[in-house]
Amino acid sequence: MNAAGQVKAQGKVLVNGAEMISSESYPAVMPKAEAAKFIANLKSDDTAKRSEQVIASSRDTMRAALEGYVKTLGAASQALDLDELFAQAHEIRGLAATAGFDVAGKMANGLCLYIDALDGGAADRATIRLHVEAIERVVSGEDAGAIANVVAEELTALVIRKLGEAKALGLPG
Amino acid sequence: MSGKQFDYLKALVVEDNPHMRELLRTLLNALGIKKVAEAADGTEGFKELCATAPDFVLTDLSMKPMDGIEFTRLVRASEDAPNPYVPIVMVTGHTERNRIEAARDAGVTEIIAKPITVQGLFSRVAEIVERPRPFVRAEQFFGPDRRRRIKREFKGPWKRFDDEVEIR
Repeated sequence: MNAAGQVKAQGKVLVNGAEMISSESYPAVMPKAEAAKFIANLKSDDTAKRSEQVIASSRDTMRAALEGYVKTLGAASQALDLDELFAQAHEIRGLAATAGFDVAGKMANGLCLYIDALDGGAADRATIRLHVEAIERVVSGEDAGAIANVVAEELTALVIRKLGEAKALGLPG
Repeated sequence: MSGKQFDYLKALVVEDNPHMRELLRTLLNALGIKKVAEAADGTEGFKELCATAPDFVLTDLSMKPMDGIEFTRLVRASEDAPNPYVPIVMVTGHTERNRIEAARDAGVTEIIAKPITVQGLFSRVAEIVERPRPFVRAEQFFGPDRRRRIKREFKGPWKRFDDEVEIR
């Protein structure tokens, strides 16, 4: 370590001016002897079982949280509050897949990308509404499987088209 | 929670969603890692990193005000970072090629796509412990070597016939 407490690697190999730093020359996550114990524990059936239980028991909490975000998303859609729409869609895209609603995560991600690309420009109310309703249907269990996937693909195509139209008109987004 | 404990290990979880943060922390606890610092975005994450000097970091990608890519750049470049070589595992729902490349170019060590699975998380943690990657310091980049494929005919640190190699 240097005076500032920063780790400096020892031993340098330069390739076209780029310095190659071997993993032996900077601090390991843990000493080799400890690493063997850690990996054995990580790969044990006992750890796998315990960890699967953690994921399973978190699913209900995730689902309840997701339903809360979807509710707030609906209210933000009514008010066409883009900041709140983005915030809620962002939470949904981060949580949906782990809560068992992958496709709602994809739809929410599409909504985030759409709002982000608007860059302060006017939003198309129908595009927002279609996304929000589709997410609501997936999380409520009304749409699932192939139907939900087709809707997600159509929504992606819609976002691409709307952003293309905005660009052609010289509007932001 | 029973199982072996690894009291000397410290991890940092940087994730803006409290539920996801809790899940990651609990999974690390299940691995026997009890010292898990937490932060809700990159700015807070960097402060925690400086305060706790973790052995590895799990970070989300999309966060405000500072996202996971900026956070990674800061960890790799800042003089204040206690260990610029610290393994950074990015947990992300974004699988678009440009976002993954941006994360890699910022110096991320491993990437896990959401949804989080036990196998996905543990395989990345095992990777950073068992196979630490060499680092590259170039004019525009500092981070783990981005070349993953190893060619059988490759015999040295250089990749091209006319590469200039200097050992110091």
